[in-house]
Formats: sequence, C-alpha cells, structure tokens
Amino acid sequence: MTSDNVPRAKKTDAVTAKLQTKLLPGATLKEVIHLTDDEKIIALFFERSEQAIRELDLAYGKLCHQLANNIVNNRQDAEECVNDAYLGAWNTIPPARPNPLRAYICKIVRNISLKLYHKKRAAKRGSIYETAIDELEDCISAPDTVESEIEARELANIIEDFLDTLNEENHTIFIRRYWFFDSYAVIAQRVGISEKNVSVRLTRMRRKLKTYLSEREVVI
Amino acid sequence: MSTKIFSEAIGLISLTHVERALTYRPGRRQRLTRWAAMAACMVLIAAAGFTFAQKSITLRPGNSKDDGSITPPHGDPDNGENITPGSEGSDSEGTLETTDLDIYYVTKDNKIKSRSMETACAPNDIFGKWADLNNIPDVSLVDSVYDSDGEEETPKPGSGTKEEPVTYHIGTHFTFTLTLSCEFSRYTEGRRGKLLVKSLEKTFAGYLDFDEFILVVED
Repeated sequence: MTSDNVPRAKKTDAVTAKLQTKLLPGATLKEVIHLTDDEKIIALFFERSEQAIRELDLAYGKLCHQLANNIVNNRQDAEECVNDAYLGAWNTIPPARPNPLRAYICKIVRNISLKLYHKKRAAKRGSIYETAIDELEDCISAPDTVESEIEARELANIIEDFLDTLNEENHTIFIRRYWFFDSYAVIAQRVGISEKNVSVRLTRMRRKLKTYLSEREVVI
Repeated sequence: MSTKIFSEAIGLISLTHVERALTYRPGRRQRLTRWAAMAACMVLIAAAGFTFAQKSITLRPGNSKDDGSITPPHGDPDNGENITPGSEGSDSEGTLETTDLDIYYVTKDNKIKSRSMETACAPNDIFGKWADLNNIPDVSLVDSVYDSDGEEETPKPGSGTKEEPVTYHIGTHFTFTLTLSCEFSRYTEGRRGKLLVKSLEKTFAGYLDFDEFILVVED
C-alpha cells in the first residue's frame, strides 16, 4: 500500500486497543452487586423480616451514621437518628420500593437529623452542618429583604437545574458539602483533590449559584 | 430567603442527584497526575509506531486470538485496507487518553440532550458516563465489539515458509455491537426506552464511525 492510500485517521484511534476487551470492570460489577443487595434488602422488608434492618445497617449503616453525625455532631444523637431512620424505612417499605435504596435511607436520616438538630440547636454549636449552611449566607438574602419567597419545592427544582450545569466532580463536591455536610477533608479524600482545591471550587460554585439564582429572579 | 429554606430545598432534590454523588469515582486525571507527562509521551510514541505499522499490516499465524471481530480501523474501510485483528495495539495504549465527548441523555420530558464531558477513551468509561447521566447506574456494559464485514486471507498451503502471514482485509460495512446487562430491559419500554437507545447510539457515534449499531441485552 502506498502512502497515498493510507486513509485518513479516524477518531476511533484512541480506543482501538480496548474494543475487543471483554468489559466487565470492577466498578461496574460492584454496582451490579450493590443493586442485587438492594433488591434483597427490599425483598426482606416486603416479607416483614427484621433481617431487613440488619442487612440495611450492614450495607449503609456507616454512611448513615456519618451523615447523621455531620448534622447533629454527637455520636449518641446520630445513633438515635439512624435508628429512627431505620424505623422510618420499616414503616414505609412496603408500599414504597425505593430505588436507589441508599439515597432513600440517607434522605430519611438527613431529615430526622435536621429535625433533631433544630430542636437542640441552642445546645449544639459548631457542627459541620452549621458551618456549611453559614457559607451559603453570602448568596442568600436575609428574610426581611425578600420580596417574594419561592417555595422550597420550586427552589429545589432550580437547584436541580443548577446541579445539571456542573460537571461530575463539582456536582459531587457540591452534594457532598451541602447535602451530606461532609467536611472539606472528607470531600478532598473522596474526590482525589486537595482541601484547598475543594474550598476554592466551593467558593466558585457558590458564586455561580448566586448568579444562577439571581437570573431566575430568586431574590438574593 | 433563609438558609434554612435553602437547606430544606436541597433536601428535596431528586435522589438521583444524591446517588450520582455517592457513586462518583475520581477520574484517571486525579489518579495519574504524577505520571501524566510521562504517560503522554508514551502514548505519542506508541501512536507513532502504530501509524507506521498500519502501512503493512500482517499477522503471524498463532498471534491471532480474535473471533472474527477486529480492532477499529486506523484508516478508511472504503479503501479495503488490511488491518491487524487486534493484538497490535496494546491495551495500555488507549487507557491514558481522555477526551471531551458529547454524552446524550433523555430528559424528564423525553427529549434528547447532550452534555460535553471529559471521558477516558474506553467504551466502559463512555458508557458509565452515559448511564450516570440517564440515571440508570444499575445497567452495566458487558461487552462491546467493533466489527466489519472483512475477512482473513488464508495463506496458500505449501507456499514454503513456515510462518506465512495471515492478512486481514477490512470490510466496508462497520457494525458496533454493545451488550448490556439484563437490568437494561427494565428501561426499554415506551418512548423513553427508544430514546435511551437512540441517545446511546448518538453518544458512541460521536466516538466511533459505524454503519450499524446493534444493541444486545442479556437475558
């Protein structure tokens, strides 16, 4: 074949070596296993087996405890919140068949923990939750300057749209900080960047959020 | 608005956002920062070698491990170019590359949109991004094969030399076959299902040149 016959390079070049590989990477496999576990746990809930709670705790207990502790800043209170969340799951499954189960149980833990936090706020100062929320003060106005306050549900929709504008990494950082209330150190470790980088990115995202809310006439 | 309302509002966002954050794994960029420069050099050298090699592509008998499928072309199939069935390109060659690719996804109101994302140059990574964007992280990519209607040219018997090269003539019709895990069957019903398949095809079409897209879902 002469050089004239050498055809144009295709954009496929970079992936050529991988295409014949049987693809079942570890991460994907883990997710499949995770899914299977969820289905098993939900099946146990539907059978009204108390083993469901044990399995749930085994699978997501650590995550739930960390989330609760981030909010209430007290191991004992966190334990109480997680147990209440398990009870909440027991009472709602069935009829609910949550998918994904992990996020579902986290949401219950979060709600219960926030309730307890607000209840004990006077006594509980300095939690990561409080620090994280304080950071948002710059982009959210005080109540007396608000002309028309939008409903939380509407605001949630706007936040979702805002999250869709972020790349995966920043999306994770934002959710990890303001949904899970993880510390900078924990986020840095999870995302694989420095704490300083986490801090800088969050600052930029808050600034972007402020603009985003402003453009949508959410008074700030 | 108070921060309490904001906190309440963020608690109301879809669980898929939460799950996305939970399943996030650091990309190669973070893991390989230290070696990125060296790796880039290696990729360039390997690519140069590979480009040179494609001018006279032959395989020794016994080297061929493939089942008829081929590595994607480094050239235009219309020219009937011979290509190596697979083993020439090392697996490590493509693993360090990343690119910005339009990942297509189906919105809540059943429209196909795209988002440019940095992805590793490997089908599983591209698929992972697509699955995450479409909120179906439970579906996994089992296999992917890029193939053409080309064929091997068997050496004539008794030609004398023991190691007669086997030549692969690339075809003109390229197919890309993706095999997905059985979980995907949950999402294939209705208009959304069709759009999901379409978005998957469009995503890979931005990366591969193929004439036919075949989707297989495991039983």
